Amino acid sequence: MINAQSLRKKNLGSIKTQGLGQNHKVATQGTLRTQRIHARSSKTLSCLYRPEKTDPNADPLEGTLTDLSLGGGILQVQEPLKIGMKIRIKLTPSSQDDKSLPKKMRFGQWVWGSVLRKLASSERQANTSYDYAFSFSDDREQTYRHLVNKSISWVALLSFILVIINVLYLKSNNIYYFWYQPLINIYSFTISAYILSRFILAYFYKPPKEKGYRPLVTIVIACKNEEASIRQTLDCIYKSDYPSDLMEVISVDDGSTDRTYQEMERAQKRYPTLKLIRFEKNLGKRHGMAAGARQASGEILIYVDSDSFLRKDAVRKLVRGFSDPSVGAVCGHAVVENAHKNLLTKMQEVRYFIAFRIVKAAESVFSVVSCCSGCLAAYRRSYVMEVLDTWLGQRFLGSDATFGDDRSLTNYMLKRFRVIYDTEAVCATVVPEKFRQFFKQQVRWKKSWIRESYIASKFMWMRNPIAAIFFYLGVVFPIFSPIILLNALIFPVFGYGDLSFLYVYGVFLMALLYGLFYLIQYANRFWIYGVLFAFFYMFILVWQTYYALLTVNKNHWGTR
Amino acid sequence: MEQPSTVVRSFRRDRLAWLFFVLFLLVSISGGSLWMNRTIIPEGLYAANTETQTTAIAVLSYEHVVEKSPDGTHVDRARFREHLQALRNDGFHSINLSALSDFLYNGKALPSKPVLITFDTGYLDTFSVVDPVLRQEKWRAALFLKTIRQENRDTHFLYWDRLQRMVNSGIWEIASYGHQGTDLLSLETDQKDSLLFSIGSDYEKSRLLIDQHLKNHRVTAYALSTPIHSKIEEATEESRLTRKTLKSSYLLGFVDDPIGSNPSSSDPYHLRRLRVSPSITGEQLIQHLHAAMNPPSEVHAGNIEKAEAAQWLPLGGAVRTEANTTILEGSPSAQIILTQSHWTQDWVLETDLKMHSGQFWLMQTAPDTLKKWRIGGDLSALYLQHFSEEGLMETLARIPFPEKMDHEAWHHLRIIKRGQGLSVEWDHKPLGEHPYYLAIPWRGALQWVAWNTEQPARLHLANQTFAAFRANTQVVQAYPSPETVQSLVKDSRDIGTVLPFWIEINGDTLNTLPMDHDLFLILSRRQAWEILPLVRIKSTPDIRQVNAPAPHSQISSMPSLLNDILNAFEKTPWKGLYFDFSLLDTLQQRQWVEALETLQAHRKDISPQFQITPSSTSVILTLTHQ
Repeated sequence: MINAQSLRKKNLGSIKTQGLGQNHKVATQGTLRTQRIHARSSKTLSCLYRPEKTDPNADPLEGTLTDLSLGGGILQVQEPLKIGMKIRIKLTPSSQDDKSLPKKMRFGQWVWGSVLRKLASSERQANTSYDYAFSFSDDREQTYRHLVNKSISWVALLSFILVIINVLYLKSNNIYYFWYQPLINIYSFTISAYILSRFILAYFYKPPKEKGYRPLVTIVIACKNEEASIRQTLDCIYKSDYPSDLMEVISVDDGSTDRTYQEMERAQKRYPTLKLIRFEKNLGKRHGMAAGARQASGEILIYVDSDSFLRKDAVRKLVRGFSDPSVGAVCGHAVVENAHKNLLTKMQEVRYFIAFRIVKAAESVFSVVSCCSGCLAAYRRSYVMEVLDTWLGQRFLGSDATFGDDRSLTNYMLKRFRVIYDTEAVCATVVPEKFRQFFKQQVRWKKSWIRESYIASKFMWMRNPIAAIFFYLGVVFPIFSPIILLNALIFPVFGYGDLSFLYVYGVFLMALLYGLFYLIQYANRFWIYGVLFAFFYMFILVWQTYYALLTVNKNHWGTR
Repeated sequence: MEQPSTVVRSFRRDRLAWLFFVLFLLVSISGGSLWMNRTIIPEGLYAANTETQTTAIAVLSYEHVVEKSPDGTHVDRARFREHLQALRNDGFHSINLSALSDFLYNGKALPSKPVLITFDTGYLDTFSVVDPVLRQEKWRAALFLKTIRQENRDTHFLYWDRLQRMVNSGIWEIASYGHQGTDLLSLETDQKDSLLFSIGSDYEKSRLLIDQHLKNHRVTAYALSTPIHSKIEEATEESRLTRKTLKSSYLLGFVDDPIGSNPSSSDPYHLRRLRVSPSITGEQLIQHLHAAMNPPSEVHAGNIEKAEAAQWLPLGGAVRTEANTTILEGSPSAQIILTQSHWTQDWVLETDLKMHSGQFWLMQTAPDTLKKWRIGGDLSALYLQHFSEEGLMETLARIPFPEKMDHEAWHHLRIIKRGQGLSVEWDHKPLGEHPYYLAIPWRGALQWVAWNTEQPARLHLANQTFAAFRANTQVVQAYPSPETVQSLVKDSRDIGTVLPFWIEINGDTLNTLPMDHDLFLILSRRQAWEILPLVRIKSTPDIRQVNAPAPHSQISSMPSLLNDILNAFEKTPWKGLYFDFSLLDTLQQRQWVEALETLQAHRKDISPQFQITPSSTSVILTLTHQ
C-alpha cells in the first residue's frame, strides 16, 4: 500500500539536504521527534531553569546550554534531574541571540522542555555537574508547523491518488469513445499508460542489496574548463566512506584553457594518491573517459562529472549493485546542487527527481536503464574494455559521435548485461542556470537520445516484453507529441478543428502527478515548479525533437 | 568479504516472458472479441404458430431511452423494462423487420400478438441503457439511424463499432432514419426547391452508408418523421417520385402515428409506429395496444344501437374519469383517442355530451396524408371542417343548434360515417336534411379534443359507443322512378352504395341499359352515396368468337366483352363498376375474375387502370391513378 511513510522509507535519505556547508549538520534517519533535523548552534549559553512541580516563587537554578537547536540541546546543571521530567528554561540576558534557538527563547521567555536522558559528563566537570539531553516541548506554533509539515505529505498523497483516479476515468473515455477519434485516443491512452506505468514500476523498485561487496574502484573525472568546481568535486570524492585503499581516483584534463589543471595539481598535493592525465588539446569527454579507463586498475569504473559532488556513502552504495556479475552498469541518483538559484534551476530540481526516482527506477525494475547519467555512473571495467575501442570509434550518419558518451556507453552495456539504478548512491550536480545554456544542453541530449534510441531499438525487442514495449513507446511519443499539440491547439486557431481543452487538462494532470510525487517526498514548495516544467516541456521543449532530428549528425557540444 | 554471485545472466527469461505475453495477448484479444460479438439471439426467429392468424401488428417507437429521467421528459431504463415485461406478461411476442417483411410480402406466419420495438436516431444511450435490457429479456428491436451522426463521429451517438456488435448479437436490425432526416427541413429557402429530391437522395445515402459499414446486414426499412412524411405525401409529381425512390430501395416504411397498430393488410410503406410517451405505464401501454389491435364490433344499418362501449385513451392534456364520465379540461387542450377507429372507414359513434366551456371537436386524421376533418364547435353551433386541396382548413357546414345549448345539460350525439357521408343526430334528431359530404372517404384515428377559448375548455363525455358500420347496398334501375328515388332518400342514412343496373351479359350478348347519370350524380353528391353501375352476368360466353352484329346488343368473347364494358365505362362519370356473378357457378365466377385480372395486366401502361376487389359473388372494379 502506498502511503507517505512507505514512500519516505523507500527513498532513504529523503530528507532534503540544505547543502553541505560547515556550520550545519544534517540528520539521517528517525522520526521528527527524536531526530535533530534542525541546524545546531555550537555556542555555550547560560540559562536559568526550573523543574516542574517546584515552587514558582523560588529562585530558578542556573545552568548552561550547549549543542542547542530548535529541537533541543544539552543542559548542564549542578543538581541531578529525573529522566522524563519537565523543566522550564530561559536564557539569561547575557546569552546571545541565535537563529537556531526557538523564537520564544530569543525573546527571553520561559520555554518548556523535557529531560530525555543523562549524558556522560566531561572529565573536568565529573561529579560536580550533570549533562542531560533534553528536547523542547512543542508550543502551539511549533505544533502547528509540525502538523502542517506532516500533513502536507498526506494531503499530497491523497491528491496524487485523486489525480490518478481522474486520469483513469479519462482513459476509460478513450476506450469507450475509441472509434470516434482513433488516432487521438490511441495516443492519449498509450501516453497516459506509459506515464502511469513509470510510477507503478517505480513503486516496485528496490535498491540493490548490500552484500559487503568491496572491489577496487577507480573514480574518473574527465573535464574541460571546470576550475570553479573541480576542487569541490575532488574534495567530496575523498570524503567518501569507501575504504581509501580500495579507491583510486583519476582526474583527466581534456585540454582546458583555464586553471583547471592547476586546481587538479593543488588537489594532488592534498590527496597524493590522485592521478592526473592531461590532454594538450581538447579530444572530447569520451576520450577522457577512455583514458581513465585504460589507466584504471580498479574492477569498477565510476565516472563523475566535474560539477557533481558525491555524498559520503555514494561510492559504497554504487558498487554494491556489482555483486551480481550480470550487472554491467549502475546509475546513481543526482540531486540539483543549485536548485535555489532561479526558476529554471527549480524546475530542473523536480525534473531530475522524476527522471531518476521515477523513470530510471522504472527501467531498473527490468534492468534496462537506458542512460547512466554522467553525474554519477559506474561500469564494470572488464566489460567496458571489451567495447572501449568500438565505443571510441563510434560514428553515426557519417560523423564521429562526440556527444552522448554516457548514453552510448550505457547502450553497449545494455546490449549484453543488466543496467540498474541505485537511488541511494547520491550526488549533487550543478545544472544550467541560463535558458540559452539549458536549451543547448537539451538539444544535445535529444540528439544523443535519437542516435542511441535508434541503436537500442535493434536489440531492445529481445528484452522483457513490458520493458521492450515501453521502450519503443518512449521512442515514438516524442515524435508524435508535437503533431498532437498542433492538432489540439495550433490548427484550431486557424480554423481547422476544435480547440481541445481536454488536451491541456490532460497535460495538467500529468504535470500534477509529477509535482505531487515530489511533494509527497519532500513536502516543500518546489513541487509547483515540477508542474510548470511539465507544461514547459510539452509546449516548448517538445519542438526540439524535430530540430534534433534534423541536426543529429552535427556533432558539436553546443553548451561550450 | 562476500564473493560476487556466480550466476550468469541470460535473456532466456525475457524470451519466456515474450512467449507468455504473446499468448496472453492472443487469448485476451480473441476471447474479448468473441465475447463482445457473441450472439444473444440466434438466427431463426421463433417457432411461429402457423395456425395463428395475425390480425394486427403493433409497432412501438422510442426516441431516446436514458438511464434516469428526473424531469420525466424521456423514457428511462426502469420504465422501458416495465413496458417489456408488461408486453411479455400479456402474451406479446417480439418480432423484427425481417419477420415483418416476410409476413407482408410472403405471407409467412408471425407469432400471436406480434410487436416490433423500434428506436430512433441512434443515441449512445441505446447501447448503454437499452441493449443490456434487451439482452436480458431476449427481446428483438430495430434501430433507425440518422447516419450523419456516424459520419460526423458525434460522441453522443453510436458509431459503427458498437452498431456492428449490436447486429452481431442477433437482437438488433439497423434501418434508416435518413442521413440528415428532419434537418433537411431547416435548410435555407433557396435550397428548399430541391427538398423533395434531397429527401430521396438523403435516404438513399443513408442506406448505402449503413450497408457499407455493417457486415452481414442489409437495410430494408426506413422511418419518416412526421414533417418529412407530410412533405412527401403532397399531391405533386416530386412527391410521387420521392415515394417511388424510397420504394425502390426499401421494403418497409414507417410513419409516426398515435395508434401504432397495423392490420395484416397494411401497406408496407405506411406502417404505423406509436411513439411511446415517457409517462405511460406498462399497464396503460397494454390497454392502448388491446384497444388498437382489436377491430371494433360491427353493426348493420337498422341495429346501430348494438354498438359496444368505446375504449378511449388519454392522448394529452388533463383527462380524468369520474363515475363513468370522461372529463377533458383543456389547457390549452385535452385529447383522447379511439385506437380502434383506424380499422374501419365506416363507423357509428354515439355519446352523451356536456359542453361546459371552450370548444370541443371530434377529429379524424388520415395517417398517410396527415390531413384532418373535424366536427364540433361551441355552445352556439356545430361546424364541419376539413382540409381542402390547397391544404387549408375549410368549413363545409355550419349547423346551428335548435336552441342555444345549456352548458349544464347533457345532450346526445350520434355520428354515422359511411363513405364520404356524415350523418349527425343531435338529441336523437337529425341535423340537416341529408348527410354532409366529405371530399374523400376518410380513414384514420378519431380523437376528441377540448380546446380553450376565452375560458378553459371543459367537456364531459359519457356512455360512448363505437362500432364499424355496415351500410346497405341498394340495387336500383338505371332510370329510377321518382317514387324509387324518394324511397331511397328516405333510407339515405343506412345506404352506402347504390348499384344502378346498367349492363347485362348473357353469354355473348351484352345489353347496355340507358342510365340517368345526372340523377345519380346529384344523388351521390347529396346523399354521399357511392354509385357503382351494376354489370350483371347471367351466363358466360362461349370460347369461340362470334362476330355477327345484332341490334341493341354486341356479340363478342369474354375479353373483348370486358374491353367494351371498360370503354363504355370510361365515358361515364363513375369511379367504379360492380360485377355481379351471383347467377354463375363457382367455375364461371373464377373465369370472369381471371379475365379481369388478365385485362388488368394488359392495361398496365394504358389508361384507365383499375384494381379489382373480389368478394364471394362479386367484383368491384375501381379506377386508380396512373
